[in-house]
Amino acid sequence: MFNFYILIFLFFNLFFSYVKASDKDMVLITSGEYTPLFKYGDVSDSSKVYVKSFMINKYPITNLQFKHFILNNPKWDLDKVGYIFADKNYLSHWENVDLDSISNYPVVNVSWFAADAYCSYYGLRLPTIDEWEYVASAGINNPNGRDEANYLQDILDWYINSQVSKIVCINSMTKNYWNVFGIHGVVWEWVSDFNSVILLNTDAEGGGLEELLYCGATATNAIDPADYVAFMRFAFRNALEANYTSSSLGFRCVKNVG
Amino acid sequence: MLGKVLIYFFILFFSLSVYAFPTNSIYNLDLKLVDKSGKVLNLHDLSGKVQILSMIYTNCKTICPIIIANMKAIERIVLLEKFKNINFSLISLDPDRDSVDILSKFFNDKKMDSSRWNLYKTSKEDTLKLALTLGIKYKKEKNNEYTHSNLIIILDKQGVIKMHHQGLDKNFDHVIKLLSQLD
Repeated sequence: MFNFYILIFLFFNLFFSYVKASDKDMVLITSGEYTPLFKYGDVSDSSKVYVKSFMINKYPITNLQFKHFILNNPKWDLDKVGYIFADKNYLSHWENVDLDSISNYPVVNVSWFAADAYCSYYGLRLPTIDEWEYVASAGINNPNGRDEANYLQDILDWYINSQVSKIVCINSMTKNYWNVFGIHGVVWEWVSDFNSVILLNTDAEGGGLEELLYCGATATNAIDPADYVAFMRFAFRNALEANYTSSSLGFRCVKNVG
Repeated sequence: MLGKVLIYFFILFFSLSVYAFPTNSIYNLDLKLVDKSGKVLNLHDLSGKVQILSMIYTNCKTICPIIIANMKAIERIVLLEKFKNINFSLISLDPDRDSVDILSKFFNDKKMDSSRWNLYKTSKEDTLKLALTLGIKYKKEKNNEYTHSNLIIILDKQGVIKMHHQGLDKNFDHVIKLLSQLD
């Protein structure tokens, strides 16, 4: 099933694993502010979140890279991982497929635990919601995509029409202002703190997003379409569990700078 | 020859029964806890007892005290029913502020019985992993308070999650029914 030459290639690459995960696959995101979900109407400074500079993978992690990780970390092989770490669809798209043919496609059907273990192995980590959203808020030509005509519509079209068959290989992904490829329009991506999205069952002390969304929305009686796009991501994250896998959910890693 | 094979199988069975938790057990997580007296232990050291647990933080003024009060209400029924193997564990969501000393003081202030109760903390990374595994959501707010799920979680002796009880729900009938099966 798995091409012999790929195996040889991977074998050689075992020796260069740390080199491979080095800066050449990553781009620098310089520090800045972004306005998170449900705060677009709020123009005060307190609605802005400051994000420190960091490096991020240019592309989502591919099937080939993940296979490479598993060869180094056999406990993440699909027949060895316990249910608490990954549900039964873990890497199910690798079954009955020539991995050669999907080697440069983003890996999907990986749990939070598997994604976290991958990044840790290379001395990296998963991005936080704020880091991911900061990168994703950029358009093609400037750091704020909302200033570009088709930015929101393109994302919205993808959310509405997204199909597994539309997953493309990393070479055909479009890049944004930060030279980050495929942040929209390909697969959803894991973030480290997805469980900080709290829509239900919340401790009343912090308020909770539900109140912000529903009370806030009815009070102003206007929802910015940008809120809707971000809300879909937040709703998706709210529904996740750490061992959950999906055929449209992959990841990329980040690392601190300085 | 047959004897040897039997001994081999016996050893294999014995070692599996001691060391292997079910694949859906939280005790497969390899992480260290520190308890309120500063003792370091592995998460899987909580195995062997039914655990009634929650994740809280000591600065929490409104919801966490209610969760603890409800766990104490469960404890009173546990004593009445004479269940023997039930422990109560609280794990801090706020390892930065909840030092061992603070946990210890909190434990005494809340008059917890050390034969059944303990307080734990772990590293920031492992706090997140544990919360994710238990299905607990939390978020640090700008005022340093945490928004978090108010859940009481029941683990069987092997660390499999058997129930998520809403922390504010004072009807414990289904909790007690489950505990009578697990004890």
